[in-house]
Amino acid sequence: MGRDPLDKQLKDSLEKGTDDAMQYKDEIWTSIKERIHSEPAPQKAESEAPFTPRESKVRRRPRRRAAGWIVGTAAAAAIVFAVSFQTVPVQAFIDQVKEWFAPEKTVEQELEGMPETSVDSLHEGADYVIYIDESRFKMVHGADVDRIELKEKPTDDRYPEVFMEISQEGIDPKAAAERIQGELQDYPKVESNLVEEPVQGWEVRAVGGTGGKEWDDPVVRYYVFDNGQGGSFVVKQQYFLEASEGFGVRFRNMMEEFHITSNTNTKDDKE
Amino acid sequence: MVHDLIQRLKTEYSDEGFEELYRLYADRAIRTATAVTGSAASAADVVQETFIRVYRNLGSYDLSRPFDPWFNRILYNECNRYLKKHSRMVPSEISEERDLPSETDTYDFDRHGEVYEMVQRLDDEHRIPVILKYLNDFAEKDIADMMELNVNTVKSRLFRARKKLKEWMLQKRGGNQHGT
Repeated sequence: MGRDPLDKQLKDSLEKGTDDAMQYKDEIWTSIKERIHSEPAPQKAESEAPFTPRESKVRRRPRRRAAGWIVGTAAAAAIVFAVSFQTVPVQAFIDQVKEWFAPEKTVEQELEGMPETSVDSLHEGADYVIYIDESRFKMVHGADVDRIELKEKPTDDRYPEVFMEISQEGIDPKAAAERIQGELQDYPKVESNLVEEPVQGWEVRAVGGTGGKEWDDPVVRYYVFDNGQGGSFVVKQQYFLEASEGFGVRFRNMMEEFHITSNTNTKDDKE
Repeated sequence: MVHDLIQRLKTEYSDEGFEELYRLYADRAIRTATAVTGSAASAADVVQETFIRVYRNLGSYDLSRPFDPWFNRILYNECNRYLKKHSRMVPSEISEERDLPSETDTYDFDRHGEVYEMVQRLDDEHRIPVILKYLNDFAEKDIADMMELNVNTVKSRLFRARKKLKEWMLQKRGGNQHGT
């Protein structure tokens, strides 16, 4: 590892400092085994491997997290839960739901090790709402795809494009995630995982260019999750490697306050 | 070996097979999580969650790709999730004044324990690459992949971390010499 004595000192000290924890190895395994056994039995469908994730546990909408948000949407969510049982006309109900979200939120987040505070504004799309820091981003509504892009794009064209796109597809999240993964096969690095945060669904992430060696390698990250109407929301986030701790974290945090407003989902929320 | 094991697990799950996988990666995972979270109890939670995620996601794991980076990234994400959830106050920069070893320290310190403490005093940007490199022998490229960083950024963070650690150690050594 090199001739510097510090290398050995660091290795030894880190090993010694973590020695005590090794006594929990068996205990941790016992807990893992119990957790695995407590999960519903894997589906044994012919086409599916035993490890098919338990999608039955995936809720109809992304779980909300209040982390970093000073003015949370707990009140609005509570009202949604309470009123979703009532029989109000569908469109009126949806409009009402949208109104319950605060028009602005003060957001605190840590970016690249530095705390940052911004006031984000509510934006509405088809069947969803999201909060945007309008000092940095603007929302461009399209026929099928809404796009959140930089308000002021860098004049230097060395910087790869940074944006987030929100759309819906008529297929279930797993199928949509698989299709996206297939489309990204030219990227040197592609991975797909079931995630619970910032939404419950699939995260497909790919690094283009050199696959992670250069600062400007493009990174695309998709969040694919149930839209509650038999289809999926597909959120595509694009940035570049050097911006992972900046724009990458910003986009991820924005998804923490992505809310589905379609009637189907609000009803599902009560579960 | 790992490839065959995972292929087997993907075809048919067995506790024995998954335990074999756990035993192969547990040491590295437990040590890493302990150093990152700063406590063995928290590390136990992080490691448990890591393997549960591995279990849930093995179905979508692409056997044509190496397992280690995939596993390491899950572990790193879990460590990050823990740090974020418990958002401990981490200084954004390495402070020169904060809790520096006194120049008049006279106690006979355990050098290894001391170095571990110094690593823990680095901010996360510098501390985590150090842990990943020296505890796991990860190459800078692997660390960059895990942390979604440019390799040069990782190199520069490791360089700055080592420089700071050396300074602290020199001060500590000087303090002892003067104090004893």
